[in-house]
Amino acid sequence: MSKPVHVYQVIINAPADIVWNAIVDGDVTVQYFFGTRIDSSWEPGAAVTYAYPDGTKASEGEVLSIDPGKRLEMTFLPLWDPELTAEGAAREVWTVEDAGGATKLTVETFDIAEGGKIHTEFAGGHVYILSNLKTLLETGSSLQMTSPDGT
Amino acid sequence: MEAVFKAINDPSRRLLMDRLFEADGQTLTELCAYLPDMTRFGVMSHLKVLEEAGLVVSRKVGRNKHHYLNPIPIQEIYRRWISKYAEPTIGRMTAVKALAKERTK
Repeated sequence: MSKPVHVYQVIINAPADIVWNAIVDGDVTVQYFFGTRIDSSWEPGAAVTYAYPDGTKASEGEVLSIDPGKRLEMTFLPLWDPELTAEGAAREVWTVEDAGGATKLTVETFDIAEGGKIHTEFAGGHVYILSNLKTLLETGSSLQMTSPDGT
Repeated sequence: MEAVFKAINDPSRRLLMDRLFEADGQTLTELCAYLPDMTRFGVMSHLKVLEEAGLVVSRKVGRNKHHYLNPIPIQEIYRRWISKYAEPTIGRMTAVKALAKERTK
């Protein structure tokens, strides 16, 4: 068992099923995940894509394992930048747990080379995405930003 | 949020966060090397405060416990405090800087 490269965690004041749905429902991801919609049949081995409104794929990957409502393990290959694509797919584990009335969402990343471009870009990206998701589910609105640094 | 401010309010804990930012997922032994004057127990106590504030998340892999910097509570502070109070100022500062640059041309 390898150790994660990064572990991100956020406590969201929303029920676990709402948080889970926000991960797998494209109508929700479009509101906090850089304007992209997630799409998959959510079977192990199925493709997972995040796509922009015009249909261009931001990323593609594969469902490695899924325990609906609780845990999703998938690969994530960035397609928005050829340099990132060249570095290969990362692996992510999304975990949803009850936390005394609130929900704890954890994202662990694996298979990312230290010092690579993915390593640098993903760190800020995940912080932005998870923080945005928290704001969205708790207040019903997200920051209308299109990049991690707000430009 | 109270726990986050308290956790940040200590130079050793800020140092541990900075070292984890540079290299995420370090063990207690690795982190102790950055605070040579502190006991192992002291470093462990600081990590516990950081964990309770959600600024550090730990993962046990095999026999080792690895510590990860979780910057999301800091992002929350940014959203709640900095962006609200400081951004108009930063905007003005940038404008002043641009003007100064223009004048010195």
